Amino acid sequence: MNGFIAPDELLARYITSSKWLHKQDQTVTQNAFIPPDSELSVTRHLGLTERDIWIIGIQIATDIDRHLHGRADVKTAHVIAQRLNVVPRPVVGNPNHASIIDWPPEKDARKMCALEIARVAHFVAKPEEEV
Amino acid sequence: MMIMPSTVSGYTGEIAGFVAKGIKSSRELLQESNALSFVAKGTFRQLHEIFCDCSFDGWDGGKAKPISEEVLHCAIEFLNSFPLGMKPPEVGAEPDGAITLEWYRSPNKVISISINPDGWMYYAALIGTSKRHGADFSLMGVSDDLVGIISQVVEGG
Repeated sequence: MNGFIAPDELLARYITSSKWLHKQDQTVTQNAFIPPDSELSVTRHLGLTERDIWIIGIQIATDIDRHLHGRADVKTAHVIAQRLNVVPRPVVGNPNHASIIDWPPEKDARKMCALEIARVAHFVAKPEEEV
Repeated sequence: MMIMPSTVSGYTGEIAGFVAKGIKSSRELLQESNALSFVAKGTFRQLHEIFCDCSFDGWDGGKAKPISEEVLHCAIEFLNSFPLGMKPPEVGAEPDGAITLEWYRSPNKVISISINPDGWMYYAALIGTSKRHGADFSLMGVSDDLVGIISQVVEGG
């Protein structure tokens, strides 16, 4: 796996809660982009087919007994524009796993970064048919 | 001689005390009816759903922290402090264990408030090209400034 993440690479954040979508226009809320601690998990599109991306997401949702609603795609450049960084963090079952790091320590500043990322993120609903 | 307590207006005496008491109970009634309005609009039900849905480790498929009872309690108290007639928020959860209250009109007109486990409330807002963010203690209730920002998001074009 390439250690460098190019600014035009797409990153996917899996949406495992319906509350992470705005009801009126199916855009993603900032909640999906708030890190639990110092890092936020994403999956790089690099070298994956659409099917591969969904298989990883379905596996993640299945592991926690959740429904996968879809994914929020965002370009790495939009993340870097918030003075954050993205680094590869391969894990078993997902060699494309990466983390968004360098979050500001203040929660309100984190929320502002997350709002800006959510503003440009593109929601892709999980296909109805089997992947 | 009985000393009557001074009212907010500074007047003392039986009648002033009676009026002050009446104002206080009216205010409490209004706050209660606003809380009831949030009940009617399903806000408190959403809060409990979020709590049930997100009260375990890793509920996001990653390292999400659970929503605690303390956070649920703070969110209820915070909502009870809202002035009458406020549009109800969308309720959500963040992976760091916070409950969120969000007023959303478009990706460029949105305010999100987080009630965090430490009892603090953090907010961030986008209103066109303007950005606002800050923090306050959630049990102090909603500030006039924050009500103003929410109004800017939910009102107008």
